[in-house]
Amino acid sequence: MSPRLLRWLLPLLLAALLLAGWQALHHALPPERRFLFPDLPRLGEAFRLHGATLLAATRYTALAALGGFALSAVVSVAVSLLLASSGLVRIALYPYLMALQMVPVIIVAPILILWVGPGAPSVVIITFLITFFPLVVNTTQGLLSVDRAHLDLFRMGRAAPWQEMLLLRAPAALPYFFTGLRISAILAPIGALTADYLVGTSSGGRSGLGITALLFSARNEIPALYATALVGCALGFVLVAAVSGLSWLVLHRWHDSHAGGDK
Amino acid sequence: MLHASSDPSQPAATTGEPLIRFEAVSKRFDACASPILAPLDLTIPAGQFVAILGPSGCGKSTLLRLLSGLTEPTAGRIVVDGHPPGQGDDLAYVFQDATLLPWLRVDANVETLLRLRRVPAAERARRRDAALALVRLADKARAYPRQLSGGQKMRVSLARALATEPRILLLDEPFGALDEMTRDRLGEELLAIRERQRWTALFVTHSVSEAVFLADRVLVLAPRPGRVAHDLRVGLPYPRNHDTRLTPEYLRLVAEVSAHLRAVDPEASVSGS
Repeated sequence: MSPRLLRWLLPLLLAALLLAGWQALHHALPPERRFLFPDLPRLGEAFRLHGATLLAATRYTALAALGGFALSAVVSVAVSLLLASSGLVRIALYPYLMALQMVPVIIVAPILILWVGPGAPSVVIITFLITFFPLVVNTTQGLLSVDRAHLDLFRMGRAAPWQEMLLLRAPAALPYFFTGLRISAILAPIGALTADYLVGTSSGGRSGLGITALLFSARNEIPALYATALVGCALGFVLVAAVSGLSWLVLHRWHDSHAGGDK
Repeated sequence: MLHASSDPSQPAATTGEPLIRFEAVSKRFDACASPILAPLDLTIPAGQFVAILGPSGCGKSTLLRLLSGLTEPTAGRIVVDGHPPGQGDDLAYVFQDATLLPWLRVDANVETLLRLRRVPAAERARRRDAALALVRLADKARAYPRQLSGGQKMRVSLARALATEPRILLLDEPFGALDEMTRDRLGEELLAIRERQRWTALFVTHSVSEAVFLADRVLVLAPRPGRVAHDLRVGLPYPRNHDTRLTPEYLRLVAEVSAHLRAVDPEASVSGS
């Protein structure tokens, strides 16, 4: 069997097994506990019943995740260039960058609501806060991890600092940047969903997956909650796949992480 | 571009103004007690091909790095083509590794140094094509470095240096990582290129046969502190080719230089006794 086929078949096989196990568990539980692992047909029904709500919420959360993610990517590149260009800036700024990641979102959320109001702006900012650190750490690392011999080559060629940054450090950092991007792509939908849960609003019928989950949970609609979780997962997969595709496009010609792209 | 050529049979002193001059140059790194280079006096006339041999730690690479301005001497003065090191555009460096930028195709790699010097695009393209033709890799212009063999990568690296049309070529064990066949062939190609572009070369190597085959002057350095122990002329006529390696004069010179090298290498004398 070709390894390519196997790559699709094995996860699918596992999915079938898991679903069967789930269904078995449902029937094995005493009737009053069965709601914890709802009957699979009921799960399907939840998708059908709440499809429109889930779709709208997914759209909202996806946009917020993308917004925070994009903001994070742009700002992290700018900050990384700044960090890589000066050791003093690096020493001065680094603790605060870490602090940015360590800030407990639950505590920031009410403050953010006071600053920029509830809803989309707050969600985007929280997503940004969650996805920023891995990006900036990886990109800076990449900008600084330049081959010593390449640096000598550029020094010999008497490259200006901006030439060294743009023609040497930036391309050398691309694989690191994409590593950060992939980690952040996983974090972004979770971040947006959590943020929506904390600072989202349901006013005007424009709510994300977090608020939707909150409503389902309040109404004790367990199958619908599972459906929401699955949709959130799918969102993460789509974003990671998009980033992986982009990474392949940019790197496959020259970088070993995408071996087999040549010839 | 053609440069003044020197007749290998003439002693260096009579060739006129030397292209490279070391005046009592010493180099010491902070941590080390003994200097890496003792006060060193050396003149190299234009057009000469100088091979530099010596055991590790005798400052061979330091010599090249000083010339290129990558490091500063602790004392003394270096004049390269009439100015201090690292100021003119007349010097090119070929490193131990090919040091190609993996994200650029071969043609863009060859243009890298020209781009840093803001050479206009048309002129860049002309020099790039000429350099790639010299190393016989015109058909690989659109390839990425990882698609090339070790020997091809080194030839691209050489083309990148030649594209700057240097007066002085510094080569720091450029063929050291290659197998012997490739190494010999690249040596022959390097000499063929020199027939057409008369640059001055300083070629650091660990191989006595390579040094004798390529150079018209061989410097044997002694270590701790680094100093010139022997300064030999190689009278073998150019153009040299595979047959040169079979001549008695070549074999005699290889034996002589080997003996000198053994004499200055403290580790060799220990194991030899």
